[in-house]
Amino acid sequence: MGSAATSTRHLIEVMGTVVTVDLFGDVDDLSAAGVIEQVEEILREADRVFSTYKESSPLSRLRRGEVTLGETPAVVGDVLDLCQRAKSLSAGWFDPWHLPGGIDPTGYVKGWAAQRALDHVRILPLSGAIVNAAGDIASFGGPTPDTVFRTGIVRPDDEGQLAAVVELRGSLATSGEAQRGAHLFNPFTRQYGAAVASASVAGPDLGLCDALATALSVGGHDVMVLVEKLKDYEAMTIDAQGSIRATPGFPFVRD
Amino acid sequence: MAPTTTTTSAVTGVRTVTGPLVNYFYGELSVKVTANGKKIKSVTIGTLTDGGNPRSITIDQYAIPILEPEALAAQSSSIQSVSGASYTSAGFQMSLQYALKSLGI
Repeated sequence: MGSAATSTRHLIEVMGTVVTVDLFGDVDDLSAAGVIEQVEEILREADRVFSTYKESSPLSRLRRGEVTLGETPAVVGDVLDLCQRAKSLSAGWFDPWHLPGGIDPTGYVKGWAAQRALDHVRILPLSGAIVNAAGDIASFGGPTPDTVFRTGIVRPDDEGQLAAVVELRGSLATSGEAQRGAHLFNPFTRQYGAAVASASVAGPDLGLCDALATALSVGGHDVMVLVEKLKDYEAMTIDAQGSIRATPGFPFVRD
Repeated sequence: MAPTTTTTSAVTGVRTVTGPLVNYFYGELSVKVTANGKKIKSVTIGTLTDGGNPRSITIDQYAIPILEPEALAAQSSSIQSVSGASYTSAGFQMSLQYALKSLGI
């Protein structure tokens, strides 16, 4: 961690993983604990509504056709609208409507929920904060008021090594086969499989980063070109041979 | 914002539990969780076998820095987080959930 920075780490077990919340700055423990409790509730609520593992969740019931969209909590419609935007921005490479097993916005929800959690943390007088949901990262500020956060992107073939270090200006999501096995579904070929070993997208909003990283994994170069045209979003891929490609503005730290 | 108090719990003290060995991408692993009361303090790899896959030998040597990006940071330039690490793996999550259940979290 940065030498001059004061930070506290909070771990929240939710959404089938552990989310870390790192707060940077001098905040009293009581204020921090109160905010962390609210952050935990934001994440748990997202899990309750959107879990595809919990059979009773509103999303699971929607998937089974037991309820209509109008009968689910309003937030489901909000997230599906955001997914629709991500689908069109990715030219259909991110497509929660054409996955095996029915509509599945999971690829958007984890990032979206972490971004909401991060936005809530802003009420504390911090120099910066990081919410890391299993490698999908939302942040603001830096370790101190005049420095920026840095994030390592691991090598897909050897997660003990870093392939790149980037300046974290907002959010960063990484998607790849190595992390969760063959889970990436190509909506055009209707087959599982990825075009690259690792795909990262950096930008202001983690929900969209998460969706675009999934699209980039599956679509490779075609999606890289699309992200390059998006204002404030940058992309990087690592192929099976370890070659790195990135959009011109990708915030690599070169030192 | 109303001040909040720490959640009270019957479970107290620092405890460490290791989840069962489960398959992961390169072999088998187990997850070790340390908690103080109901609060998670650290999540690391307990055991890791590579199934003869040379790729994971280095993983074994540094004990995957799951949720401990500082361990990686120490090896490289100063970083505060890591993206794309293996703690999204299904195997990791299975072992983790078992460990958390054992700890009553």
